[in-house]
Amino acid sequence: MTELEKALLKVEGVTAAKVDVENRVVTVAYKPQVNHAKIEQMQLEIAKAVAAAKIDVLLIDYVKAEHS
Amino acid sequence: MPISTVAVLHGNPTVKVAMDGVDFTKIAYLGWRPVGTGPGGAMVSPRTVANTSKVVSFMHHHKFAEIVVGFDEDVLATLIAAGKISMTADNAVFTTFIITQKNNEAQTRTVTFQNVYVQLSSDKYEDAAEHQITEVTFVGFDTITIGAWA
Repeated sequence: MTELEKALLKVEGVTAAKVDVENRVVTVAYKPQVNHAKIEQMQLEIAKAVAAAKIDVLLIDYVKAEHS
Repeated sequence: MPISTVAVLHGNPTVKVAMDGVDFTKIAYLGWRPVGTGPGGAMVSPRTVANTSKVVSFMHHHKFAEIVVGFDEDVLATLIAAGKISMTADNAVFTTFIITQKNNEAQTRTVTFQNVYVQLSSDKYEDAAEHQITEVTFVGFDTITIGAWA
């Protein structure tokens, strides 16, 4: 598990994270929140973590966790 | 000129800008677009040599991302104090510049720019509600990370 994946798992609402360096994609599974403000905050924290990792990422993809 | 993505969401706290970790949530509107998207950069200007106006070729410019933010407040003092707008030297860079956008299905996404400078702060509006809106144009010269809508 990469340092970025560990950092992403600490963000509230994130259940899984995978960094695909070759395709420059970070995939994040998240708990669907009733309050969308929490998703906004989660997205912002994820974006900050990805930027801080200083790896060339093109897309941050989000998938809803099946069991939240 | 039109910009590719525009959100006119006056007073909506969803649309926000995080500049080097400092969050600004009072945003009247924001948008961004890549500029000069040709193979070598679509932006060109005439190039001359010596003391002549005769054009000998064209200069291709770098591609960059243009970000326009209408701040629902006067942020100029903040930007000047941080050196992001300097009247006596180069403008300081924002290492990380993140905007949060919202679509018409109430989903949001982030777009992250790196190495962003204030290009200009040209207009100050007062809207119908008599709020001060300060429009600032930023330019980013590095990679862009787009988040999926969620």
